[in-house]
Amino acid sequence: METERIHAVVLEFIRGLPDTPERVSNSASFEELGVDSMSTMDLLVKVEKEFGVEVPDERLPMIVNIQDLVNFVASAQEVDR
Amino acid sequence: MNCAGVAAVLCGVGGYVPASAVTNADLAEKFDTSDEWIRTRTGIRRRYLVERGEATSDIAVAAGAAALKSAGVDSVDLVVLATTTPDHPCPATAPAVAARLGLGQVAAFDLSAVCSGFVYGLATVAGFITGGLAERVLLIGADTFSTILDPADRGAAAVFGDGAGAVVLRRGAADEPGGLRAFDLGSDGDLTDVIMVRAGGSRYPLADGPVTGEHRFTMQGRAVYRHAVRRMAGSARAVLDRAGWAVGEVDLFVGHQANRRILDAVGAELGVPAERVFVNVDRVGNTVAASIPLALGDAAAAGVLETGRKVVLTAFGGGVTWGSAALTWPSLSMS
Repeated sequence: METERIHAVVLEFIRGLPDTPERVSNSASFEELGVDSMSTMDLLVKVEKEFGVEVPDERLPMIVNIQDLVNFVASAQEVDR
Repeated sequence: MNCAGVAAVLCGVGGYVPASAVTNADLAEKFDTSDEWIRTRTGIRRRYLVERGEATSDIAVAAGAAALKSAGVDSVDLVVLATTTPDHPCPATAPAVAARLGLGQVAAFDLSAVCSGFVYGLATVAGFITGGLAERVLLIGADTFSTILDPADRGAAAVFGDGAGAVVLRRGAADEPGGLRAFDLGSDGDLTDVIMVRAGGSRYPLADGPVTGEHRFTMQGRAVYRHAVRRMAGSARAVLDRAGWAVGEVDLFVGHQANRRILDAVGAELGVPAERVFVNVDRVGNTVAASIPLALGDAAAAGVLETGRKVVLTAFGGGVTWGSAALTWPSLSMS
């Protein structure tokens, strides 16, 4: 499933950051996971490149956790098809 | 520059930071944070803050005096102050700074372009000089962001510092050391909201009564980071093109010292090796309009800049605005 692949890429990025908690919940905010705004942006750029999507500026504040990001990428890919 | 090679030439640099240094350990006593947390995320170790009652003009005067001394002059035709934190909403702060520096009844005004203010100021002053309106100018970038931050904002407290930096520019030739060779300026007002103090202007007047919190500085971190990197790199490329310089020819890139990661990302985007990207944000934090002149003063004092070296300045700030300048380094006496 594509959503699983998106999820895996996101999780790998977050686990690569310093001080990531043991349990990374899909619904915890990036801030709660210790992912600051710049790292979140780095993550979005990585996902944009990897999955060929673009997060418009106005959507940036709405993606607050892993679930939001996976959903966004999956639906953006859907629209592209 | 056209006009038969007439250009603004840098001939003095000076900086000033307030007396009170605030370390990451100091911040950790006040907020849920740590030295390591701040260092790994921002690259900042220390910043300086004004005392309550100390205003932007106070630190601007100190930086201006240092720049005049470095230039070995005691008069100018114009004083321009780039700031987002003037002493008062009205009038401009530059006339008071000029008077306190003993510069007499010269032309003086403030310029507002947030973190791009100093580069916008350089271009403005170059226009005055090449247009024959001024022979010698004092340009100051000074901000006291600690006076507009939300005291509970841990992230902002870690990033911003107060400070002032100044340069003296004179009429000269583009090809002499210190000559300002090229500029690139731009803005995107569709992104007004991403760096903002919402209330206190004509949209939400303070005359209507205090608006809780809205008179404080806010920033949308993700959007700012994305656009700062794109715009600073793009603007630096544009100014290199205008100056006729290749990236590899530039001796030092001095970017707006927003935080370490933005500077690293801009360097990577341009393909500039880390040793040619100047960093002093670790020692002073993000000092807004003061950041580039403070960095220039630090680079010169550290001996990183020798006469004739090619320097590119690039900045991004609220508005949003961005700008870059290309110059060669002059022979300067640093105090």
